[in-house]
Amino acid sequence: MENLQNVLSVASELIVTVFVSALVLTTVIAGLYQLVREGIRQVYVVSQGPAQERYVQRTDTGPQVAHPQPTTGH
Amino acid sequence: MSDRITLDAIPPPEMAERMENVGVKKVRLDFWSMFALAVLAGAFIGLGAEFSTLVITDSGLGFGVNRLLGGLVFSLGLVLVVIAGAELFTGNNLIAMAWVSGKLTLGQVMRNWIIVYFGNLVGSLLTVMLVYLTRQWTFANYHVGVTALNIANAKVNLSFAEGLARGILCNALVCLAVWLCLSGRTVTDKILAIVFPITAFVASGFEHSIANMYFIPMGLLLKGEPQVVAAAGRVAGDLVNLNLQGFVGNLISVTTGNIFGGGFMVAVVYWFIYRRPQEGKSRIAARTALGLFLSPRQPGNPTKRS
Repeated sequence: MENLQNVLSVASELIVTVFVSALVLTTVIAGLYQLVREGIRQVYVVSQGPAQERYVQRTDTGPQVAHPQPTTGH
Repeated sequence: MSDRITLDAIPPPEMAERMENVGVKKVRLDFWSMFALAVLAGAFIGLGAEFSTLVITDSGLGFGVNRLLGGLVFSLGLVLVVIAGAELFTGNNLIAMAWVSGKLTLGQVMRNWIIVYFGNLVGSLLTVMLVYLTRQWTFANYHVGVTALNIANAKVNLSFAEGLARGILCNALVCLAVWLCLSGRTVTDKILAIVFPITAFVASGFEHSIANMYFIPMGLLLKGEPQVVAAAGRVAGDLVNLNLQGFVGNLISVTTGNIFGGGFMVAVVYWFIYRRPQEGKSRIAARTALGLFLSPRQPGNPTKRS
């Protein structure tokens, strides 16, 4: 009987420890992974931003922006 | 004159909605505001811990009442955090509610937790330094120091499972205190909501990672004071685990327990009760449970994943 109690005690301790630790560790690692990914994406967007903007300006406005027509003042 | 003064507590479904919105606001703080508020919270909890250590020293009361008194005055820490405004790691575990609702990504939550955790550490250590310099530990013939030393030594001698279990229960109570505060409309409501759960966790000997950032470093400093060690009736061998390794080991088990107790046992459970999507309940709940970790969701849209 005492042996059974000991086994149950150790088993419940092991289950709780492993389950809780695994769940929290998974969450933390997933969060860190996402944090790094979001950080990299942000850096990428910032570094690509002006280039994309120039690209959009050239394609959208074409020669009108590159060679703006002189206007007469009124 | 259609405005009436409402005395009713805010009902739990509305509290859950408020918690999500508060979580989103907390996460959107800039780095320095978040860090400064976290340093404050660490200092506030340290002050509560210091107050508690002082009050339970040689009180002449019985075991239970002595612990009750210690817990009651420790509530000062969370009262300062909630009323004065500060970022406490254990309380911020409730932000998990906004994450499971899809209003935040796990990465955003993790950024908040990391900044706040280290901010709390800085605040706690600064408080330890100041309290040590006051030589308050010499009060009552060094017995205040003895109490602090014994508390720290008991904490570093906990096994991983003990630290984990005590951490779970502690933060379940701390997050319940914060959760109850969301129901309050006045300062009095909030203080009353805080006192009982916090008193319960301190009196029960549960483990709070941020409070331990005060208790254990204070013990480490007092270990180097021969008068305190002598007054405690200790020999060097008794304090062998009271070192940096013991401190880090305690923080690992207790912080893990705190995250589970606050983040999962309170935040996720209340989200499930009040905030889970109502259409196709079982399908969405199953997907949430299984797929939450697999890919980040677009904040603000619980169904869309990037």
